[in-house]
Amino acid sequence: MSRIGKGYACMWLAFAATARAQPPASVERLSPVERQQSDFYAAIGSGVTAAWTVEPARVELGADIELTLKVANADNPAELLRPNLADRPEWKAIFGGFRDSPGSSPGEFRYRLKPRNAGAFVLPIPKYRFYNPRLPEGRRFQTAFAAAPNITVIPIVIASAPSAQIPLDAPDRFFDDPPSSSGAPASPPAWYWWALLASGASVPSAGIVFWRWRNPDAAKLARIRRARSVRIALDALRKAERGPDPTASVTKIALRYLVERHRMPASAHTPREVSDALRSEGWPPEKLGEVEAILARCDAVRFGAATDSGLSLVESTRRWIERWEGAAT
Amino acid sequence: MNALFITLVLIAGKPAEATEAELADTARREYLLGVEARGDARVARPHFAAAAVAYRLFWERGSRTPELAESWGRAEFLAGDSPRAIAAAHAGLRLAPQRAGLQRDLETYRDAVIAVPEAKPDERLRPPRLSGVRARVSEWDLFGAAIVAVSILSIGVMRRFTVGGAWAFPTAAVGVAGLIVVGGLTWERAGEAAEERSAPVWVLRSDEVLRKGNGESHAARVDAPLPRGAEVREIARRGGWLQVRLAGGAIGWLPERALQPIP
Repeated sequence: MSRIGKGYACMWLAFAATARAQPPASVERLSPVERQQSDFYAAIGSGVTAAWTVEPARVELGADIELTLKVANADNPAELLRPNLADRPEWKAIFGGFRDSPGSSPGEFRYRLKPRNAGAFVLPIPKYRFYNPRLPEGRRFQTAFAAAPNITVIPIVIASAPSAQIPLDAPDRFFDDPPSSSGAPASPPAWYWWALLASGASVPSAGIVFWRWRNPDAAKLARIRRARSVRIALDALRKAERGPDPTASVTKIALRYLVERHRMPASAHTPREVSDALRSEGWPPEKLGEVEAILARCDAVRFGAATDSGLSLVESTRRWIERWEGAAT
Repeated sequence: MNALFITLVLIAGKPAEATEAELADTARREYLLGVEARGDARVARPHFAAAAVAYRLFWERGSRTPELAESWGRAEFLAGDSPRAIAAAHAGLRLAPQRAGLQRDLETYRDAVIAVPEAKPDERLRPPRLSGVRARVSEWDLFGAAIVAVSILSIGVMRRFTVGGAWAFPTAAVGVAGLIVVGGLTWERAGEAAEERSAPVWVLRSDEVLRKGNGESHAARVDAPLPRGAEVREIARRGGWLQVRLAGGAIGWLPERALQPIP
């Protein structure tokens, strides 16, 4: 046997020994490193082929094309993975609207794509690598070469011949009457704000001046009402007018006013006690006389046969308080 | 069709001669003719295109109202020009950011823009829905609230200095609080408007690649070209190119010729 013949015999024996070893017909038997090889879609076998076809090869812009990948001679057709074209920049540059559709057999993958622009394109088909277990270790990944299909995308041609009517697609509100301008400015003019500012300052001022002009006494009343005890007394007198027993209320109101406003001791209740308490505080006699008169009238109306009505008593008390407060201010 | 062509020539060719009333009438008439012909897009679109031209001229003459922007945007959209429709909606929203009709229309126009699946979050193209004080509260709303607040304050002050009363001060305090709220919202609106002006919106007229530099020789910043109708915000300009920011935050360069400004 010649040297060449011996060489062939050695190669045959090595190949036969490899072939006799149990081939991994499932991707599960491959190591993780082998499974993660780039452009490897789980195809195992010897002589695996990958063919790409496109239908139609000439398409109008806006229409879809169907791309088909057929993988043949794989030992594990059920395990084959679909190459994901939607993630590849070179495909995204040409197509949009990626949709996957099932193939007619396990080794067949279909894609529906929508070209973005008109023109002629050679499809950038990805490399298809497969695992050949019958080859020696380290050389088992092979590439299945395939011809790249071409497509031609033609621009939309508006045919002069009558064709099917396509209705406009838009929300219904777009087909209502177009909104007409109301004439009002989109935002208030600046002078509106200045006018509001001016009126905010002038209207209350004018209102206060007008009210004081119309109610000269009321201005004084407003001033005296600023004291809490006076305000309470006047409000209580107003309520007493509408109450069932104005006279009883007037006595209480007058006493409370004296206690809160003039610091009279709260223990004084009768006209004499009140008079003594105020005298001890150093009140002038004319004021003492007024207080005594009011309280005496209250008693007279309540317990005596006086002709004075409760309402006139309320009015007298109010005048008394206002006179005192007016004198005080 | 001839009549339509003549209308377009009359309007677009002699804009100076057409009065505003004529423009408004033409726009409305063409729009309604388009609506009548909506069953056939080939017939309807030219009418909407004519209406859009008239609305655009009307707008450029200074008759700017949110209602006009709404009609104009719809006419552009129905004529098949989404970028101009988006620009019209933005123009109207500058005047009345709170107008719900314009906000809704803008979302419809954006839906029509082909959305490319983004590879990264910063390459997101669709801007978020309008938000903030300007999108909710109009200047008229604030003015109305200010009138109410000033009235309450005036009543409180007048009450305090006339008949007095226990509730004069609380009333005035409510008025002051109302004015503070109105002032705060006005301040916030002004801030939002200033931010809007600092980065104006542009709309892509045609598909265009976003590049890393201001020239065709620069590499693409985003793999897929940006679709027609995509909205970007201007950061800077140089040599006929705009540095822009996408809604997701990615920054790149686009040629100015491919961009539609907001009128």
